[in-house]
Formats: sequence, structure tokens, C-alpha cells
Amino acid sequence: MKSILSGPRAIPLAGAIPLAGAILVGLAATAGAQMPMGEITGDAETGKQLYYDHACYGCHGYTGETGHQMKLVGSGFLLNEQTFIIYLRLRAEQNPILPSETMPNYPENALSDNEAKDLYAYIRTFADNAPPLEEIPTLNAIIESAAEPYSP
Amino acid sequence: MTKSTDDHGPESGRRDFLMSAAAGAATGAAALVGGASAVGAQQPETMAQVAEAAEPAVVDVPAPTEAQLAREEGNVRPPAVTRGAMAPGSDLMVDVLRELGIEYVASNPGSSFEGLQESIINHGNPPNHMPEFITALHEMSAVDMAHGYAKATGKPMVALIHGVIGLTNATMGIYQAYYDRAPVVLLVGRDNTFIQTHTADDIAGLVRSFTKWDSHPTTLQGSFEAIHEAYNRAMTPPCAPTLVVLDTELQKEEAPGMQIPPLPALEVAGVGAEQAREIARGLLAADNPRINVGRLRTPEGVARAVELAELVGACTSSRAANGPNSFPNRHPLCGPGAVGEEYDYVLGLEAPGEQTALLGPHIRTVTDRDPTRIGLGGNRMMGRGFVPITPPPGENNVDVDAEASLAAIIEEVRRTLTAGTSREIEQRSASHAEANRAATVARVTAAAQAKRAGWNGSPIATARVYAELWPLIEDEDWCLSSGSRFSGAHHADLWALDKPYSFLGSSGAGGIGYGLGASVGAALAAKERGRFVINIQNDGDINYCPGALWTATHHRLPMLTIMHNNRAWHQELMFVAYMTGVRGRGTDRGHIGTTLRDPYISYAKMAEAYGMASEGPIEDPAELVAAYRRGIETVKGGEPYLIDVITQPR
Ligand code: HEC
Ligand SMILES: Cc1ncc(C[n+]2csc(CCOP(=O)(O)OP(=O)(O)O)c2C)c(N)n1
Ligand SMILES: [Mg+2]
Repeated sequence: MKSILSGPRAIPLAGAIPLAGAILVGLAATAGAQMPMGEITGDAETGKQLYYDHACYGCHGYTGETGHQMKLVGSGFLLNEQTFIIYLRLRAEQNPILPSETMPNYPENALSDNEAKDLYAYIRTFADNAPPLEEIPTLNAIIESAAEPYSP
Repeated sequence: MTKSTDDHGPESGRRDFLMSAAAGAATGAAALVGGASAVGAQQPETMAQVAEAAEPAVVDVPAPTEAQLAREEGNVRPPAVTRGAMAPGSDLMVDVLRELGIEYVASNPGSSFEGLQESIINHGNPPNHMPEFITALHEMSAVDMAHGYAKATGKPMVALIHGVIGLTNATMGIYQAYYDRAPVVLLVGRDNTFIQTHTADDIAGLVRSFTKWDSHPTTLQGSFEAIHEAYNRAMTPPCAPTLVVLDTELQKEEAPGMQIPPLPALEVAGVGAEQAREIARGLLAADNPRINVGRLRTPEGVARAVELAELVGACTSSRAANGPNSFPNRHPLCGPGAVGEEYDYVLGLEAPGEQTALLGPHIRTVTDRDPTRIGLGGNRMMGRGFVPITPPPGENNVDVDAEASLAAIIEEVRRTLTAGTSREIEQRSASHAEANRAATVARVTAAAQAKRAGWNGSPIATARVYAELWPLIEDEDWCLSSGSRFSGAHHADLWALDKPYSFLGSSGAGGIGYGLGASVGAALAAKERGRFVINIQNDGDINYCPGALWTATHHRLPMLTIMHNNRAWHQELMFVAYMTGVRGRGTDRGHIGTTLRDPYISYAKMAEAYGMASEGPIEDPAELVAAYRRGIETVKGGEPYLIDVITQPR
């Protein structure tokens, strides 16, 4: 058997992907704060469980705020249910030899369109809950201490 | 323990009896035997009663000797036998360790070193001090302790390990200390006759691929010399674990009158006089010199690097956020400086430097010490300061230890420094200080902005775990002991790392299970030096050798453990999640084998089981500060403390 390591580091699985990928990249680039977000038809409560079960929390944090933070506004991938579903389906076109912690692929047989819509509904509940800097005394104390004279 | 001597009623009764018997003997009367059998029928309760009952009896025996009387005073045992070992070889081994300044021997007991263990705990005044026997519950913990201690102090302690079986348990710890360039002295007991499965002809061969040097001495004198050499070789760059196999016969050998050999000097080569002159000239002639500082060997090296930078007014870089013994990162000279990035003379100290880079020798002995073909040689990019082992052509690398070079360079600078240059340097240093302070504030402010994300969330954001600590520790003497990457490494952005031991860095070879043991080792160092240790502890990591919690409790170590409890081997969860996506046949089972759910583990109870004060799990970030305060108060009082915190995965 030919060693997988002797070939290229990644093995393409589907040929059609570059085109769809290009569309997505275009979407991500054109989407902006000014574009209205699409309709929500799924159930956010169900979506919350799916977000946990399919390990989304693992890379995006339980509320999308930590880890690889999700930009709700300005992300073309989250513009509407369809862009979100396309994004989920067309991720992992590569069979990686090296372990990866980037966004996985979520094909339909693993996560149905309806489930994806529930997930979408949940993600749309995310908000930037971070208080402004002025309201966090700890972080201000840290900045102040950086300005203090050196005293090892 | 001395036995109580209060309860001597019966004894004194018997003494009286003997005295009167002696008096009776003087008058030459009837046999004691008769009198004794007469009272025997009455079942006397005590010897005093015997004495009383026999009072009028006249005894026909010789008077008791002084010795007999003395024995009756309290020593009821048979005459003392001279003990076999009056001057066991292992006592002298302990003397050798003491002379080397070895503070601790971490060990899990094993019969192959019972002789040496007995000497550690009993020989010397006071016994069990310098070195003190530190009880480890697993051999890997013992080595991890020595690894953490070495990084916190820049010198070795000993891990004492049972032949073969103990050593196989210790292997990952040794492997990581090797990769992390930590000086550790391993003493391994060998008993060739007692249990055959615990011995081998070449015990050290088990770990030869990742120790720097080993020896199996055949004479007692040879064992002292081997320990000396193990110490010096561990401390000579490239620093690494060394190993001495100690046969049980040598430990138990009688060695009356034997002297231990004098300590051989530890000599580390630095730059030659001409090179020192050249470097000093370069630094002094430059308008904008710079010193890049990687990881030096010991805290002493850091002090020298600071001295040199201040003398020549050079701004510096630092690797303090990555590990121990680098330049203090809030020192006024640490940063880009005032003049801009066009440095006209760059000296690297265990780091790249355009004009001169002093890069201590790397592990080069490795190929001929890699019998199991682990292939360590191919991986030497891991060297000091992450510089490649084969310097790119054109770079002016000098293959000598930077720390050992500093004294000569400093002396040369002092010798040639003129008053005029001094004034220039003073001015330059002042403007560097101002610029660097501004750069630090800007950097920390930007970091603070970013760390707001998820600030009030639950589970708790890892940034907040670190941030809330800072105001409580900024005026304390602390050491961040375990690797920080998985918990976000927020110390790098938010904290001042101004001591050689502010942050001890990661495990060396990415082996999970190192954090707790290394923290215990750092706490051993901290205890004697009036500091405390902060161990931000990953949950996966703690479960390999949790018994080290007991060691911390038992030895009253100032170690504050704060759990980064994401209830997973989270790094692996992410990898497997990605893999399930690639295969596309079930993305909701990535948690199998990667998470610590069902049931959740209670780390507060785990700590409690090992006798350690603890609290949690804390899920509300508003509760962190109060818990931290309790923890810090406890560790400053000399006891360990654990706080379980439920955290965001990353
Ligand atoms: C193994 C880690 C990982 C997992 C698991 C994961 N993601 Fe991601 N995700 C990423 C990363 C990294 C990115 C950022 C960029 C990229 O790789 O495209 C990302 C990007 C995204 C984006 C685009 C965000 C933006 O700001 O444009 C969305 C939406 C998203 N993920 C949703 C999900 C959902 C829903 C799940 C679960 C079904 C999930 N992710 C699971 C790692 C992960
Ligand atoms: C001894 C050992 N076994 C397995 C691994 C593989 N591994 C790499 S990261 C990791 C998970 C670490 O979990 P934890 O310490 O809890 O950190 P987290 O990623 O959850 O923050 C594991 C098991 C390893 N590096 N070392
Ligand atoms: Mg974990």
C-alpha cells in the first residue's frame, strides 16, 4: 500500500468545491453591517442542544464569544439560513494528514437542513455581551499597573 | 520518639526488691526460690507485690552487679548488640548530596534504595534535611517535581527511583526534562539479588535515549565521583537529566573512616577574551545597540544580562512569557526602544543576534545516546530560543554559553567605558525607558480590550481567570508554574513577568500530566524562598498523577491550584471534531473519548481526599476574586489550596 504520507499533504475529495468556495468568499466579503440578516425559521432551544452535541461550543465558546469568536454582524456566512448551510456543507474539502482545529465540515447526513436551521436560530441569539472597558475595574487596574515604574 | 518514663511504679518496686535481696544475701539466709514459689500461689499482680510478699525471705545468691542494677533502671531489653552498619556507604552518599547543596530528594519508596533512604531520613544533624525526603506517589511526579524545581531555581534536586519498574514509570518525566534542558539528577537503586524482575544489567539503558549521561559505579568511592559528575554534567550546558545507578551493596557497604572526595569545580566555558573585547566594543560604539535575550541557564545569568543592558543602555527583547530565566519584561529597557528598529549592533544571548549570537551548546550527544532510535536528533529546532541547531550561513553565531560569557563582557565594558559614553548612555536609557513604558501600556491596553470578550459569561472565560488574579498578586512574590497554552496564556499579555521564575514555561515535549508535578517542584523551591506558586491546572493534565496533590499537602507547600476545568481533553476534542467532519458520518460523537463527562469530576473533592483545602466548582465569574483571596491567604500561610473553576474550553 502506498503511504499516504508520501503523497501530497492533503487529498482533495470533491472537485466542485472551489467554485462554491469562491461564491462563499465573495459573500463573506460583500456582506456588511448594512445588509439585513435573513429570516429565522428554526428553534433556538433545539439549536442550543445541537450546538453542544456537534461540538460547536468547543471552538466557538458556549456563547460564541470565546475561542474562535463568531462575528454575527458582518459575516456573510451568517447572513441567512442558506449561506449558513452552504458554509457548513462545504468546509472540509481536504483530507488532512495533520490534525486540525479549524472549522469542520457538517454534511447533511450528519446534520440535517432542519437541524442547521435550529442551529442558526440559536447562533442568532448570540450577542456581544462584553462590558465596555471603563466598566471593568480589574482590566483598568491591569492597565494602570503597566504604567507604574518598574519595581521587580 | 522518646518513650515515656513516667510510668515506672513496677520497675521501682522491682529495684527495691533487688536491693533488699542484696541485703538478704549479705546475711546469708534461705533460698529466694522457696519464697517466690510461696507467693506464686497468691497470683501477685505486680512486681511490687512480689517484692512485698518476699520481704522477709532470705536469699542465697550473689549481690547484683552495677550493670544489672542499671539495666533494671529502665532498659529491660537484652544487652545491646553492636549494629551491623556503623558507617554505611549511603551515609556518605548523603554527605555528597549535602555538599552539593541538594535540598530535596523526591521519591516513591523502593527496596533497591532502602539503604540510601534510611541514610537520608536518619543521617546528619538535623536528619532528613539537606536533602529532605519528599514523598512522591508516582515516579513521574518525582521527576516532574525535579523538573519544575530546576526551572524555578536553575539547579538540580534529586529524583530517587526504584530499579526498572520505578524507572519505567518515570520515563515521560525524564523525556520532557531532557527536551526542556532541565538539570535533574536521577539516582536509581539496583538490587541484583532480591527481586529478579526489578533488576537489569543495564538499567540506565531504558532511558539512555533521553538522558545526557549515566554511570553504574562498582565501588563506593566510584559512586561519590559519579554523583559529582552527574551533578556537574546536568548543570553544564546543554543542561539535561543525568543518571547514576546505585547498587544496594554499595549503599550498605561498611565504610568506616572513608572520606568523600572534594567537589570538582563546575566550569562552563564562555567567550574568550578577544571575543569579549569585540562584543564590548560593538555595544559601546553603537548608537542604538540591542540585546536579544532568550532563555539563560540560571537566575544569576538574568542578573548579569540586566547589568550589561543597563551598562550599555541597550534595549532588549525577552522570552519571559515563554519560560524561565529571560529578561524581565517590564524592565525599562525591555521593548522596541526610542530610536526605532534600526539597531546598529545586536547581541543575542541564547537568541539570534545580527552581529553576535551567543548560543550555548545544544544536545549534541544525542545521536550516540539514542539506542532506541527515538530520533531526537531530528528535532533539535526545539533548542534554546528556538534557533535552529545549524545556524544559517552568514550569521555570526558563537557556540558558547551566553551566561558564562557575561562576566567577561561586562568587565570589558566597564574597563573601556568613558565618562562621555556614560552620559550618552544615560540619556539614551532614559528615552528608551519612556518609549518602552508607552509601548507596554499600549500593548496591555489593546490586550485588555480583547480580553473583555465573554467577561461575564459562564462557564468562565479563561482570560478572566488570569485577569482577576493580577491585582491580588502584583505586590506578592509568586511563580506561575504550569504550562499555560491551553488556558490561554493570558499572563503573557496582562502580567508583568519580572522575575527569572515568573513563568516556568511548558512541559518540554508536550506530554500531558506534567503540570501538577512540576508545580509541586516549583512550590518546593518557593517554600524556602518566601514565595508562592500559582498553578493554573488543566483538568486532563491533573488526572495522570493526581497523587502529587497529597505531596503538596503532606509537605505543606505554598501552591495555589486554579483549575482550568473545561471537562475535556479539549485539544483532542477539537481534533476529533474536525476529523468527524472530514469523514462526514456523524459529527455528534466527537465527545467520545475526548471529554470528562458522565460523571463530571469534582476537583474540590479530589483535593479534599488528599487532605488539601479546596472550594468550587465555581461557575459564576463574580465569585472568583473572593475565592482567590481565600486561596492566596492560605498559601501565604504555608498550605496548598485548590479552586475548581468551570471554564470555557479555550
Ligand atoms: C474544531 C473547531 C471548530 C468546530 C468544532 C466548529 N468550528 Fe466553526 N469555525 C472554526 C474556525 C477556526 C473558524 C474560523 C475560520 C475558518 O476556519 O473558516 C470557524 C468559523 C465558523 C463560522 C464563520 C464565522 C464568521 O465569523 O464568519 C461559523 C458560522 C461557524 N464556524 C459555525 C460553527 C458551527 C455552527 C459549528 C458546529 C456545528 C462549528 N462552527 C464548529 C472552528 C470550529
Ligand atoms: C501523555 C500524553 N498523552 C496524550 C497526549 C495527547 N494530548 C494532547 S493535548 C491533550 C488534552 C489535554 O487536556 P487538558 O490538559 O485538560 O487541556 P485542554 O486541552 O482540555 O485545555 C491530550 C490528551 C499528550 N500530549 N500527552
Ligand atoms: Mg481540559
